[in-house]
Amino acid sequence: MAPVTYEKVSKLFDGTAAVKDLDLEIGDGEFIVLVGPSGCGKSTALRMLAGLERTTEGRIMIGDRVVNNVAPQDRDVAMVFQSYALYPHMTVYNNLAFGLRNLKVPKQEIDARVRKAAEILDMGELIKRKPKQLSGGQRQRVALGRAIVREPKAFLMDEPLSNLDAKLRVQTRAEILKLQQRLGTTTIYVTHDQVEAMTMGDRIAVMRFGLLQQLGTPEELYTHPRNVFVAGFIGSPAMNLVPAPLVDGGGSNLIAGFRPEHMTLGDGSPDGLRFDAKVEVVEYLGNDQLAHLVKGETPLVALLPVECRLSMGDDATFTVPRDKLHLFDAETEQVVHGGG
Amino acid sequence: MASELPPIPPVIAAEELAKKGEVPPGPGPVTEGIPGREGADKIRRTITYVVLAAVSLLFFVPFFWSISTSLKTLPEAAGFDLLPADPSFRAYREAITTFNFGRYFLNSVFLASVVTGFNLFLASLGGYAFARLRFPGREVLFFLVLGTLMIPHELRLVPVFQMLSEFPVTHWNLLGSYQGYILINLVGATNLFLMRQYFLTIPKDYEEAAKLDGAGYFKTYLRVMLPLAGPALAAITILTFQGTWNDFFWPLVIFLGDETKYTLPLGINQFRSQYSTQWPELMSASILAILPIFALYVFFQRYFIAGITSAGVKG
Repeated sequence: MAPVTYEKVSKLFDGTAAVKDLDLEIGDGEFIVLVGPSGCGKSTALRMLAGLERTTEGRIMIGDRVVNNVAPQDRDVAMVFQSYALYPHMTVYNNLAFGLRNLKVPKQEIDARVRKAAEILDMGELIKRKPKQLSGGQRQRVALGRAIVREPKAFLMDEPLSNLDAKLRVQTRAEILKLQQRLGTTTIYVTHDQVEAMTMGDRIAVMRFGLLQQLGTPEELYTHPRNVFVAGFIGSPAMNLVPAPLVDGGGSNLIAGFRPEHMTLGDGSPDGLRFDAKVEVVEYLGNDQLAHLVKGETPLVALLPVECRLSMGDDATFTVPRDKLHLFDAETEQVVHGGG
Repeated sequence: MASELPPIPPVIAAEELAKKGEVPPGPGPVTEGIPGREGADKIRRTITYVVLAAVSLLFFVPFFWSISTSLKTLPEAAGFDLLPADPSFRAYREAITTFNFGRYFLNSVFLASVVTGFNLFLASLGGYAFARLRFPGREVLFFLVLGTLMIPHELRLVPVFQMLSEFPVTHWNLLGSYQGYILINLVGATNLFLMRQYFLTIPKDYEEAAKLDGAGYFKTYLRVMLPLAGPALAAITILTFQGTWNDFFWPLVIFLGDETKYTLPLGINQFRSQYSTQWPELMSASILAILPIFALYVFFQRYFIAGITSAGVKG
């Protein structure tokens, strides 16, 4: 276990910056999620920490040791790959033991550590099988096991759930969290899925175009997005972002943002923003309904209780409480007034 | 980033293919099962089988004729009858006893095994380097290796002969020695190319995982990459063993004059003289010489096909 620090870290690929001036301090035992769309630099940031990519500029520290020029195997980190990268010709046992053997760990200790990891992950009976004899979920567990046996200073996870089906993903998400809490190992987790980020991270680092957009707890990002990108990226369904004058939210140099779940049908609170919109499509979700609206030509989404069912073509009035309104500068896209 | 399952890595696909001997799952012909196209399907299938049968016949008839000739007498062999009138194994006895067939056989086994061993090791090592390691001049060097494929044996004859007769620096005379033959066949450019192509198909994640697991370059090659390259190694085993086994040209150049070092093709050639050829003996010796290759092929065949196809080159 150790803290991890990125200090002004940049990575250029043939002159194109994949990561720019990344400053990030990850506390000892913290679970941090790097999230962002494809090509935002999150995986590159992780791979630089693993030692699989060289940094172009800046320093990366694990504990108080600068690791820029340290070989991957000497960084004392373990990585879970998106593809799992389990050695297909080795049994589960050997997959787990391979790294320890290379580190010249005594045979008895290897055996003890492998068996302990297998027990933690509840895969005792799988230990003699080869990866292709395992299901996707089991392979995922072996990949986690390979990281655990190393007892590293940090776990690096690169989209480890993206090859699982939706149900298993939710289940494994919880398992990884439990495991991390039990072991207390610093974890850097990369994903493009904001739901994963929100549910797993102690803190979340949102990245875009190689730049860190915002770093904070899930709640901070949800309630106080710093810019238009974070506002639109965090939260599902995504925040409505419209020109402020359209909803009487402010001047033309502003973008108004409000979450679909904060919209109410009818006049609602007296100090709220009130506007009419036409219902285009309604998705019935059981407990809620997701109404796709259009005001003028601007699409909006509202998440409403099902008590008052809307139908296609309805014209209705909606209200958004003012304390839930976010205002962003239209030019810089930075927040000028945050939601409550 | 997509949530669907990743494609099966080619290595696993090749292994599965090798084990089960089945075609990997994939989109079948689009017309399959489409109502109203059964007729067209039937015609297409018939044409395919007719063409395949014709090609098979083209290869089978000469082979069958060889077997048939090996069972004939010499006067009979001069005729065009496909079947021998009175089949006998006399020619086989003659073939084995006339010359030192056992010695030739052992020489062939020894040379083919050693050359195959060296090719497996060096081609995989070099192929891995060309596929994965970054070093200055890698591309130029690779094209130079490929370039050697364009130089015919005949063109190399004189320089190789001179080199072996007085080896540079050490001044060894390697003509007439096993070492000389092995030296000039240490590694083939085709094998190097095949291995490189195969290694390129193996996902880099395995190597990165090995790197994080503390394996150096050589260990990664030996413990992770090589076991994954089974099909390509099988292909090289067959191609090289068969190539060395059948090689007539270089043994003739290097071993001429020392009958104890003759390989099977040179031995078989002795049934031909300036004025006559003992066809039944020649054919029976040839048939006997084919047997080990036949066994090797049967053993490695499935791996071989998987290796050749997944390396993206044609045998």
